[in-house]
Amino acid sequence: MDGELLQGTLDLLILKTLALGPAHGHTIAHAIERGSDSVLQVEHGSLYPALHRLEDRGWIASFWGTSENNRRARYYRLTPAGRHQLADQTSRWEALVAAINRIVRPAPGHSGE
Amino acid sequence: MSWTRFFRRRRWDEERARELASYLDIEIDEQIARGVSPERARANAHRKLGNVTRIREEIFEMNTLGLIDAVGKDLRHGLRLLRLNPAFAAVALLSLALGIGANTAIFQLIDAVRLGHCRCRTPKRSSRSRSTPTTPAGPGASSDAGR
Repeated sequence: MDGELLQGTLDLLILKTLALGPAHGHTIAHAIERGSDSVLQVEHGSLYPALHRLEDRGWIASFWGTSENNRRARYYRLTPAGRHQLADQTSRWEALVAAINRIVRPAPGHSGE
Repeated sequence: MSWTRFFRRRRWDEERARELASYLDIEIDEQIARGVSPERARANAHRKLGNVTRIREEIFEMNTLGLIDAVGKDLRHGLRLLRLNPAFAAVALLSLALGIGANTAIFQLIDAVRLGHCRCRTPKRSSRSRSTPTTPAGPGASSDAGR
């Protein structure tokens, strides 16, 4: 697998990462990479337009803070609307995976016609 | 945020530029902490992040409203062309001014002569009456009376 992300899944991954607590862009990118055992290689630059879009929709909010190693960094946190959106997108994702699995791995007895 | 972000896109661009710079700082710090030489750390961080200008452009584009941007560009383009050819601009402006002026003058004339001003005290209560030739009672007469 080349780790290319499906359209729209980056939003879900960002929201999920922020559900654990506020984080800045650098942390989010590394968290997604580590969390997926480096299968998902997020192009770190593509993260920022996504963050901007999510903030524009009011799903996340940002503030300037100080990072672990004393650098100024812009932190993001989930808003109540974002939490709602996360639940929504998670269930939609699960439905999609289940649907694809039904085709790729049909249950024995249901295969064929 | 809403469409007003269009007018704050320059501020947002500065903000995002600072954010991207902060990413590079943090990544370089981490690489150096892992024992990478500073020059290599800088190059690695830049490679990891990608093209900063392109990222900023993408975000700037997201804040752009197509219509306002297009109208603004058209206006500037038009003004530049007029300045490029002052003689043409003068003729165009003059004919527009004369055209509008002539229209106004003719309307004022007709307004004074034909439309005039109502001279009665209560124009609201005035009505127009019209006599119609009396017709013998027929199929149409009953429906007319009902109105």
